[in-house]
Amino acid sequence: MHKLFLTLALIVASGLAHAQSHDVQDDRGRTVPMPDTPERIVVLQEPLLGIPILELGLDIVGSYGRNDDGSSMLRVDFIKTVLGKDGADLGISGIGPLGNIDLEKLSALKPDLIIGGESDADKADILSSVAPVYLKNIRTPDITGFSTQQKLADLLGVSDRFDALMADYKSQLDDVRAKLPDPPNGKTYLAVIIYDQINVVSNMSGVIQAIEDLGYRRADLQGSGKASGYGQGFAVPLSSEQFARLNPDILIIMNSYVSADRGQAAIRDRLNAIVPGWDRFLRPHKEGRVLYLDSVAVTTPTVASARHTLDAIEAWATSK
Amino acid sequence: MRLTTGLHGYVVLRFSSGLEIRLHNLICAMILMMVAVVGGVALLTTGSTDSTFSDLVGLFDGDAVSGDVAFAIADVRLPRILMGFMAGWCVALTGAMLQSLAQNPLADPGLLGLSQGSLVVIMLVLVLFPGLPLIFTPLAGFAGGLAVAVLLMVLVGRHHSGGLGILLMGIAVETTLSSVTSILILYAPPEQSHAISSWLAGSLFHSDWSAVGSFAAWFVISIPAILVIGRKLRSLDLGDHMALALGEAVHITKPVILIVAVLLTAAATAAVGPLVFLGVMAPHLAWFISPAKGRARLFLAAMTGGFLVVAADGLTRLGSDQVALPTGLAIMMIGAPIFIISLRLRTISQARTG
Amino acid sequence: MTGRAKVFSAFILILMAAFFANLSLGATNIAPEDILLAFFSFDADNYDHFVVIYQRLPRVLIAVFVGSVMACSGAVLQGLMRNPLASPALLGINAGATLFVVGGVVFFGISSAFQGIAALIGGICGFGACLMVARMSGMDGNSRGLSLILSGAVVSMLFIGIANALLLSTPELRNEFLGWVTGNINHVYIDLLYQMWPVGVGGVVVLLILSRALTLIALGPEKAASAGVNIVLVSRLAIAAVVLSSSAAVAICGPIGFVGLVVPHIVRPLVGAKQTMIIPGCILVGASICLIADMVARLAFSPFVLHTGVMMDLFGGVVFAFVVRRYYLTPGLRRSL
Repeated sequence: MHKLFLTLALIVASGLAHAQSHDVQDDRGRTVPMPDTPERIVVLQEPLLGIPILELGLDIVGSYGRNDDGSSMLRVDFIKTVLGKDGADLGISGIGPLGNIDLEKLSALKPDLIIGGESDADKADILSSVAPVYLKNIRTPDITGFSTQQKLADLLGVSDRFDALMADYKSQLDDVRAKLPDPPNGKTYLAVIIYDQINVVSNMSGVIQAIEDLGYRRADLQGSGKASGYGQGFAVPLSSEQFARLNPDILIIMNSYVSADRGQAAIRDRLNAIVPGWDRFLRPHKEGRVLYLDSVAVTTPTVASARHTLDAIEAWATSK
Repeated sequence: MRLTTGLHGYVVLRFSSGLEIRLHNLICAMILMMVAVVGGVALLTTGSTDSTFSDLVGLFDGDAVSGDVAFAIADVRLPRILMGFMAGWCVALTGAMLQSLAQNPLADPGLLGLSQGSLVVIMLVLVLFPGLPLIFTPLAGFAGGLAVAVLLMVLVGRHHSGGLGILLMGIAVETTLSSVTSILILYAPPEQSHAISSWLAGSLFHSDWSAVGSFAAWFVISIPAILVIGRKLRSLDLGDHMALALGEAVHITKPVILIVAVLLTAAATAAVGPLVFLGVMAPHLAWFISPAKGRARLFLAAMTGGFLVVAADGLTRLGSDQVALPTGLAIMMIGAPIFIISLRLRTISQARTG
Repeated sequence: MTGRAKVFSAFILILMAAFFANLSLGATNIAPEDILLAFFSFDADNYDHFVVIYQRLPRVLIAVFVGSVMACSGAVLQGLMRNPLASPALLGINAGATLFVVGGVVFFGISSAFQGIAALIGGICGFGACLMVARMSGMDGNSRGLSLILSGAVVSMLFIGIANALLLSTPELRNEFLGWVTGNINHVYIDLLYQMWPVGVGGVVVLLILSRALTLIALGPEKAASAGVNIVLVSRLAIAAVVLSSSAAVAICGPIGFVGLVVPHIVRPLVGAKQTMIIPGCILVGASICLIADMVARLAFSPFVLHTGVMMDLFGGVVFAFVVRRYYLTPGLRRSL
């Protein structure tokens, strides 16, 4: 039996010893022996961690929620919609169906770094037997806009690429701002996403970052929170009765990203069911100040999502 | 030690110390054990990494085996199989004990709200105090399960701590606690909600060697529990009055058995989540294999439970490509048809002999 | 006015009060005069009128439907099985309907048009499973009623567990159905009400017609037979009506339990033991309680909005414990255990 243990010890030791690494503390206070140049990254949350990393030009070898051939297990494919690329072409593989990580598949990918969110804390111990696990806060209240992407860039040593993305973003920002019908100073916005009820989107995604960088300010919802419900993180429920009374200067409406159809017609159908008569009473709708966006494209916390938002705003502005 | 015929007409193995084991039970137990071992070994070689039996032998002999296969067998599959067996063992054992306690073939730790109690406290701790080290979750589970057991005993009253009273109160407690669970699932952030739900369905994901080690302590405790409690259950099975007449301190024994049941359930729930229905199914299947009383019954039920979970885990790992089959659902899929068939056959045979 | 007439008038008044309160309270409070105006001189440009007619009224109608159907079902089940714990939720009907709806959506992708049929089939199967388990676990010696309750609880746990596991395997559908599975009375489901209301109303009408026969059966099989009642036929018809109408209610807003358990216990002491009185009483009181529960669930826990089903389970467990204590654990009834 001691031969068995020897074999195991050798395997484990060889796995850990081959790369240069330095210790860092992750967002949950764990000490992680991070490789100096991670080359085989596996992400446990594709929209919130995988897309930012891919946009920074790094490779990932595995993503939770992908099939082994690189296609998405869900009806939606974030990589295709946000970055216009194909998971199979990028060589991304899967690590098991959602809800059941397959450790054998994970280990077959030979990762040198696994990145997860704070809600993956319970899996961290088991997964660290395969590779070091870094947990990044992605949905805590302090996370806004591009902060996730920036921190990942610093962590993985590609801050210069992030700066380059920001420079392009800022120039498009100035471009679009010039094309707006009215200057945005002092104007308000509100973004809602429709699940089985209407939710207000909070400040954790590319779409919000873009619209606030343009100069719009979030409309006040004081007093309309009653009978709405409790929410945290990304979306806060809004009572369907209050929806038609909203009147920000620009209103963004999105369909839940798990709906197969996220186009304008589908959004209006859902609204008809949830708030009958909304098209009679919603002032932004009557005055042409509504923007219909594809939630998959614009809600990731990345520069790419923000730029998709700017494209849509530009299209809306030039059509007025 | 000799083979002879006992007073009741069955063939028994009698030891010089006076211990008697019915031959039928012994043979069935040994067959079950063999099937479990063979099944376990077979499942060690199945999974998404290709491996063969010779790889397995090679690993144990110390020959060079590819890193992937060694990892798969020794670090992924073996601890899962062991953990699954032990968890199934404990849950089935609890079910058998509760069925004797409540004098009712439908008693189950889930029906009494014990596993829900453990669950709710564990979830509350995870949601409200996320920074707490994971070592505390089993303790939270015990606290929850014990709280429910105490609540049940208080609600039912001392004189009725058995029978349908406890089962009915258990349903009441279980309903309320399930709704608390539902509320937590509705309001937790999406990934946490998903994680809670998948844990609710039973999952062997968290079975690494350290988890197996800590659970092994409970497994070891269950062995003397079987020996002692099995004996008591023989008198308790005759009913409260007969048991009292036989000198059994019923009002002490029953709560103690309940507490042992709670501890085992809480440990299993903390490790793999609630395994719904296993506590009902396994003792019945064991009865179908070999009707037994007392210790033999507990032992056979526990073995059946362990084997069911190992088989279910095999199903989960085999079908793992497209759809996640939670362990709880797999247990249901394997056990329910056998359960129904066995119940049917039992009714038929009872009708014939009755 | 006779006592009973007074009681019924009180029921009607409470129902109307709950009806108006539900229409009036919400994210914004709308005055009763405006509600009446909305009904009788609807102004298409008044948003409050729109809210009342198109958002609150559908929800109120769903609550009334579900409350009365479940309460009547519970009353009939408790009378037929002579068991104070019988109710659609505890006999596997709700769980069966839920499982078949979820299963239909996950495996066959059925649209909401077929959800109703799936629920009806599921309710029948759930009840059937409960009967099967009770019969096969061979528990005689106790009144058949109790063994059915236990089998129903086991079957419910099983089916709901499977439904949850199925939802887990498809995260997209899980988001859509999580609300429904916890018993969500929401005006979004009004289309299902339009589809299913004939089944529910038909079931209640059948029960009303059978109510006299049901009263006689409750007095005892010999008395009923001597009065010329075909016990087997009446029981089967009544149970069929109960199963189908509760499944229809589940199809609309998910499983809502404990209305069926609680309301008969409230109504029986007030109107007497005759089903001819109990069933109409349950219609009124069931609707009122469901309306009040819906209001409490939505408004009382601000800023949380609970779903009605899950809130009723929360309190229903407590009520269940009381019923068990009163009916099964008082010293006089000890021997029946």
